[in-house]
Amino acid sequence: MISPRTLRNLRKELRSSALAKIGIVLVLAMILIAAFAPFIALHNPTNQNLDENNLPPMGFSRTTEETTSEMVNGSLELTNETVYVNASASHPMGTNSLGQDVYSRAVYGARTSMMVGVLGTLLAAVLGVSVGLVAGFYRGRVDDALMRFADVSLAFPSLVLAIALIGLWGRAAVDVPDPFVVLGLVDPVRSALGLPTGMPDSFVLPGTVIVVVGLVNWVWFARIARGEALSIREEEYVKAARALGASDARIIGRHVLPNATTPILVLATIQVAAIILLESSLSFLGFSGTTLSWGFDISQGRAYLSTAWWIATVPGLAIVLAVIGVNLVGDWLRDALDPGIEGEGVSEMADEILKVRNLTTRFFTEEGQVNAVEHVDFDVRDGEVFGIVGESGSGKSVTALSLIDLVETPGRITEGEVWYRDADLAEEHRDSHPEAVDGDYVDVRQLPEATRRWLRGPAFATIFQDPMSSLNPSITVGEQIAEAVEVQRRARANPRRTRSRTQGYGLGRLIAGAVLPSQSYVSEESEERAVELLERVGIPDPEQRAEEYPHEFSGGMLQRAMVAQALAGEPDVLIADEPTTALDVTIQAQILNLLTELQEEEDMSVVLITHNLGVIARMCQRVGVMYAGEVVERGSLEDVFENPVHPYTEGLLGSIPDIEDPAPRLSPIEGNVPSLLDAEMGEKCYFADRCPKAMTSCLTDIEEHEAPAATDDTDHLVRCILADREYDESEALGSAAKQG
Amino acid sequence: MTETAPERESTGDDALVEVRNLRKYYQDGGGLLDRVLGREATSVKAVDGVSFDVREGETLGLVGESGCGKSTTGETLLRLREATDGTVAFDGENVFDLDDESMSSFRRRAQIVFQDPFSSLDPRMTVGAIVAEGMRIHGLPESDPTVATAAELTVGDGIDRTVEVSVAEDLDRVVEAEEGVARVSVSVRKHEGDDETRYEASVDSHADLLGATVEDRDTDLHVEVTVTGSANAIRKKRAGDLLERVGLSADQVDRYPHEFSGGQRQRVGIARALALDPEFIVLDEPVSALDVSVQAQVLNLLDELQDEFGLTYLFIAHDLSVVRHICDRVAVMYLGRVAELGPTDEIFENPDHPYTEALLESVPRAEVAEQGRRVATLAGDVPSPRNPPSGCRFRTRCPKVIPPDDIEIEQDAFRAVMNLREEIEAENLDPDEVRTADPAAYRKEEVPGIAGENAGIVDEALEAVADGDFDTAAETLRDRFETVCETTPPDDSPGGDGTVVACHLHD
Repeated sequence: MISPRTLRNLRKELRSSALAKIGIVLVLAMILIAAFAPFIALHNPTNQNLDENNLPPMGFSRTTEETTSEMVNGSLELTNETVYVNASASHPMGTNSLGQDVYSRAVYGARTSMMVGVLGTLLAAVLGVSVGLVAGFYRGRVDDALMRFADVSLAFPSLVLAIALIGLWGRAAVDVPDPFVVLGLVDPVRSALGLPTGMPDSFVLPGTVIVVVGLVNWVWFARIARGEALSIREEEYVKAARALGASDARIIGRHVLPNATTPILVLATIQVAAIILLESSLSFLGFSGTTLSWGFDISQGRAYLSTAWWIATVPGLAIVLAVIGVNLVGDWLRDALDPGIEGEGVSEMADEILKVRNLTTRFFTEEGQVNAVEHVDFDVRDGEVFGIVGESGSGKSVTALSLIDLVETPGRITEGEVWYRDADLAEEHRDSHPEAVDGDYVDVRQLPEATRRWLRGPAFATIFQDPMSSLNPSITVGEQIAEAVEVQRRARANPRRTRSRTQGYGLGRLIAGAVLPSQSYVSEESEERAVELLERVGIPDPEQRAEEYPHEFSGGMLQRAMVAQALAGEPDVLIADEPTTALDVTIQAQILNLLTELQEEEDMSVVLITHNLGVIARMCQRVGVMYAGEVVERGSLEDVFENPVHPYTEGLLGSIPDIEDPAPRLSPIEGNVPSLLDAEMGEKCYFADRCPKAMTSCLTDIEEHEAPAATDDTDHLVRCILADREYDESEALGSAAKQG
Repeated sequence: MTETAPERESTGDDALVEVRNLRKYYQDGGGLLDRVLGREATSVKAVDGVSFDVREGETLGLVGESGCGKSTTGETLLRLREATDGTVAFDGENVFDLDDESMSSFRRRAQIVFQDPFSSLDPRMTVGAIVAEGMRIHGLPESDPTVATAAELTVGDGIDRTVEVSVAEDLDRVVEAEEGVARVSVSVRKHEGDDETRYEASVDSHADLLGATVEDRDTDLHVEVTVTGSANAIRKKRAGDLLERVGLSADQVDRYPHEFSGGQRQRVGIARALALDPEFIVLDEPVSALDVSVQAQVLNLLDELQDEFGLTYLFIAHDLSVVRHICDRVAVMYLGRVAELGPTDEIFENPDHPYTEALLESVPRAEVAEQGRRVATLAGDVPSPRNPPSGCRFRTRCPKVIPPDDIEIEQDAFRAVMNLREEIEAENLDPDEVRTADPAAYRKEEVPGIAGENAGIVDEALEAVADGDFDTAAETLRDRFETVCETTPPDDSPGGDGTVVACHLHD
């Protein structure tokens, strides 16, 4: 059930997290102490010795008033004397009011806590997981009933529920013989070590408490198992198993349960901690079946807090350490089992709004350095649609994010320039940042952070593939667009101090908000502008739709709203990252028409990123083809689509079925997209392993070459040696060499 | 939909799967809370009366936009979801009436491949276990009693005795039978030692699963070939063979799905479907999640497998180019119904249904001529399947919605009137806006191109809207502009060249 990958993650997480190590050490220590209590304890924890009561721990002493009576001259004379009670070496942590050894009681208390914690959790888990899986898998009435019951029982504090149940059932306890004592191992070892013998030969297991904590906590497991079952039952591999004829029992046992283990395991560790606390609370209140318990000792020590603080403090510390340890282990398991998502000199031609040079973005992941974008060059001209096409993992989306400086850790733009034409901005920064200015162009990457942020909106705006996750579900569509308008309006009024709605919250703002009449971040003009924008992108009934929330919009309408939001800053460059990929073809056609219309009317430039060659053909004047982080071919649509030079471009065009001509067989590119791990890439053409025309010269670094261009006004550039030579079969790269 | 259409009536011998009036409604609401609050359960009509045949050996495409019910159809006809109504006959037997035993046999004969190469493989199983799971469930491989077994014997040098061979009856569990006979090659060799002569036998193939022993009888040598591999070992071997068949490597059986790329995972999914030797496979968007270069590899693979194993495919997809490439016939679905069905070339070259036309028109072609092409798009979104339009499902967006016979009106203008009617029926107009704009001016803006009596009626309705009386407005418009497309669901009628089309334009 534990795959090698899980083990690897567990180890990796353990190495990198000091807290996890502490947690494991604590938990292991607790388990060892509990298991070997008869050897570790200094005394029989239940032996009373009233002569040695309330002895302080080592290094402390305690004073007490001792009254002695003496017959002096026929009358009884009482003298009060302050006596120092010193620590005894045989009771390093002192003794309690009955003279029992505090340390030995804490050691035996660990047994109770661990047993109740583990057995209670086990009971809760078995009960909860079975019920939860069945309910979630079959749904219907069982599920209804379970969930209502769960809701109700969660409404009671677990302690109250537990006390009620114990009140009902009494405090039955089971005497479990101590295996070490029964086997006769304890006394010899102890006498060899010079410790007093006569340890308890049995251990009191508070049976009712275990059953009760299990019953109180099973609902948590049921809920989580149900949730997992509900989602896993819809997984296609479950459907696939059903299609194979698997029985329900097999599906639950073989597919649902193993895939639900991670959250259940994590919950279990948290529950162990919770149950240890619950048990302590119960025994503190006197509801436990045993007197050898941390909680019981705390309640005993409570009366002596001022005189003999150690009686309650030692078991208290034990509880704290145990709970912290178990929780840290829980955190470790959670982090390791749910690793989250791992990883994805300018020419003077003045009609280019954007010139990207040598843009390089890398991701520094635990597997190593990933070269997502490698030395990418391209220009975007005024009023054109420049297309970037590539398969998943080719780096096209990271290129988009790099343009607007939104690459998130562990990714970083390591090199390159993004020259954006803005004469005013160039003038403003000519003196302060000379390296960032060249003629009318500024290198966005070298501008100060605040200016860069300010550019998002009026200079660059983005729309993404998935409109549903790009909009906040709890704010109306109109308000979100109005907010974008407002940010731009304020930025324009005071470019130095752009603030988003989350900034400026704090105590002062809170008080101001409470005292002053309500002030919205968004002004009325911005709201009106938002409605205008919604109308502009073809949303019918914009006033009413502005009041609605994203979930009330269809996919196509949401993408329109996203476009409206992007238009809020009247951008010069619109970056559209797979804007129609999530949409049906008829809706895609609507959005493409809209983008064309807007681009022409607003005179925007558009960078259109997509994997769909048809979309590129319909929309773009010029296009760059990306493969393994590089732009392998770029030029006009005619050049790239009709005279492709790079074998990858050819392969891509040959892979798509033609809707107008059902060719009998496609000519796909063999193999898969390569790994972008730096260590595995090397200095060669990255496409060589899959290339039908690979030659020996391909195993060296390939520069960008100029290729014959069909049209005059454009460059046709190819990162392939075939740009200026013919394919020569005598130099063909054998398949063995390709692998190397 | 009735079953009068010529094509769907035919239950010729060549139909492997016959779907008739299949319906699948999902209950929405109806939980305890909803019942307590007295909320009524509404049903989502995901599939609402679908009929088609899948002929033996063909690929039938089921194409449509998201939410049209194509995947639900695929899953329901395999009984992965309980159908609300209708029948599905597989090889003549109603799939919904099968007893446990026949059901088990149906599961072996009909398989499915899913869209998502990530969620369709259990991440906690090795790909070998995934591919072998079906065999394990059905206790395969089992021996076919009709298959004979035989051995080809190679006798080593120096053996001058008669050699007899007996082969285990269940050899066909390991060795695939050809023409009813499972064959294995066995060699016998002689080892001459100092004091005794030993004979040794070995199988030439499947040595890890088969064993051969020699018994030295007085008269002759007796060689016995037995299956020594456990059922698990045989299954693992076969899983490896299947992985090889779909273009992976047999030594990858012990790897986990996450070690494979999307395209490779999809190959694993195909191997799993093939493991039970099915006749029919539902391919539910099998290449939609793949990159184009990998997509082409998988399409070619599916083609080859169909030829090799004589498979019948139901190919569900939204990508029309892929459908054109791989399908023999196509059914176009819209909102839970089949709009048009026929031979692929016919549908793509001469679409009869206005929806098919619009769908084909929308697809961007990957060619230079596509640059700047403006597409006549369909207006609006697909209506909710919770409350689908009466009559023809497509009428709310159809650019060719049919005007009543007795009025003169341009097609575009009629579409505009119908759009206005829907807005009024949904009470989406703002009476204030209509009032301030003046109904006649509003009409010129929203419904250009109508005049005379038609314009008068529309104005009358808009005046009612201005007064806030949506019911009267809707009534007024309905009286005059009621189309056959809303009153009567279109029957399936023959279109051009073997197609069936559900549209009043073709009645």
